[in-house]
Amino acid sequence: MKILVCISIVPDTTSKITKEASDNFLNKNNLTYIVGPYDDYALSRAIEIKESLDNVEVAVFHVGLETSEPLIRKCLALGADYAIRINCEPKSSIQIANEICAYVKENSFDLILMGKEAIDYNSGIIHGLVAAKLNYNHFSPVIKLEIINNEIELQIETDLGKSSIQCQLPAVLGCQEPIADWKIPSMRGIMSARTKEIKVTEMLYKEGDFIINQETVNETNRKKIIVPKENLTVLIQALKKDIQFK
Amino acid sequence: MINLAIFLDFKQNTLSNNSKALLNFSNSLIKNNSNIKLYLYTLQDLKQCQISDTINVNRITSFTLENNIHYSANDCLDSLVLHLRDNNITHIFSTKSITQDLISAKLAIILNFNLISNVKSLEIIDELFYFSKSIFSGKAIAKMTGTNESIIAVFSKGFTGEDQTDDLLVSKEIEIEYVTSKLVSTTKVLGESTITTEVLLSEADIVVGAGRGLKGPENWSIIENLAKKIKAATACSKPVSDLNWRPHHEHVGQTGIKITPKLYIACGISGAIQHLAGVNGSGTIVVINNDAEAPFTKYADYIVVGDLFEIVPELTKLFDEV
Repeated sequence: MKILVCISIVPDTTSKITKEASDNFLNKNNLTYIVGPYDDYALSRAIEIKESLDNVEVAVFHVGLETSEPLIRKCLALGADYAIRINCEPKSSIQIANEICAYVKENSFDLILMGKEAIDYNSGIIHGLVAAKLNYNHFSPVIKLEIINNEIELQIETDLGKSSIQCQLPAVLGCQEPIADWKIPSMRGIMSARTKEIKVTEMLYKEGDFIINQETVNETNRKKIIVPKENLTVLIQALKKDIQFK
Repeated sequence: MINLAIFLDFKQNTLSNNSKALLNFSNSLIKNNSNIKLYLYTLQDLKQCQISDTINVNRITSFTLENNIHYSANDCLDSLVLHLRDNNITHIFSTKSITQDLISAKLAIILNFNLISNVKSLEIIDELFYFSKSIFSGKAIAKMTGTNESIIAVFSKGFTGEDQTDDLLVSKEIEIEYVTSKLVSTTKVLGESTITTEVLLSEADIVVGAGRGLKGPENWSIIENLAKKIKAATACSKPVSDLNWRPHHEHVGQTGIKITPKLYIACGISGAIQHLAGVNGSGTIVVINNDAEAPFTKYADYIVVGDLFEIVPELTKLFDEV
């Protein structure tokens, strides 16, 4: 079985997002980058499957520049077999989806996993676009994944609650916790990752029609009024004024 | 000519707040642009839903799947695609939900439309579409323009439309057209569980959130009592759901649910930046915390410093009296 895990590389969740007044875009320097937290869970589950079944190959796919390689190397240290990096700065979801599809068409995969969304641009549509383009089964957000006799059993979130699903491969899944235990690379993993291959190819697709032409920091000014705990009545009156209670 | 299809979402059998806002916004678009024709769709079976007094179009198409197979494959949408093509639909607007996210991506590929998700606002100036969308989990906003044709826009919770008006929301007799897709699918639903709460977190106008300051799951009754009194949904911070004190679907934050209620009351939550990312779209924020220096106090409208085990029950009691 071949599993492709697509990863985003995004600013750390604790990052403070800033912008220079003269710039049109957010300040992307001086930020600490991480593998997208949802993608990290998808990768962790793929590694768990590889460790529990025979003949499972896990590849990591990323669209990004060379600066991403230390984090791709970390994915290899967790246990992925090799990685593919499309050498360009990603600009839109459709561009990334096209690159993933092109690679999958050349090198067939049974299961394509990624996080339910990347935490930078929050679109959450790449897995859907990939599945639709390849005409594979598609589910998101997936919170449990088991491989049973070449089929998959899933638990997914729905608008009403949760569903358990049995479905055939190939499939594309958008993952979220608690699909796997979060992992850190072992020393042995880090050593063996040094010799694993990162295949680099140039981009095939352009950025798409919808691109961002301006970014601004979203700041809500809050009142920051301290209410003495003896004075809760005043707070309730203020709230009732602010909000129409039914 | 713009043939605009709007997908309406019904929650607990009534039109969701987000759909109401979208419908309202679309009505104002039509008022300002005579070349827009509106078509209404829903993915819910309207037999159980209340649709009167909110819709000013006299026809709505209810598209459902007979075998409840969760839109897992492209062919689920064959009859819907046919219907959209018959109406020469050029634009599709919907509001964010798990189901809508799944079908929007498929429709974008099948119909060859441009898909934009998480839309916060839209302005049409000189027939050009200007979208803004929330990025970095609400920490920033991106402005986008592009092609004006063939767009699927999925509006996020709490989006704001320019020039919202109520005057077009009139009641009419509505004709409902039912389109059902019968599919033979290899996908099987093995089981389903439904969240049964009085107030859905995603739809709530008021949310009471609690964190590790509660000290243990056995203390949640004070939060639930307050929530019940003010018809609020309950939420929690990530550490609390990680500790299994509360179910995962209550986790609000950067990697959980993002909420935009009119009022958010945070009890015993320090306000880590990841939690703030999930709640920064809230109207008014009240923070109850014993630490006057907690990060959340810098992002709140009202701050009550003290023991939440005294303050929360007192607040619950006082809501009746004031």
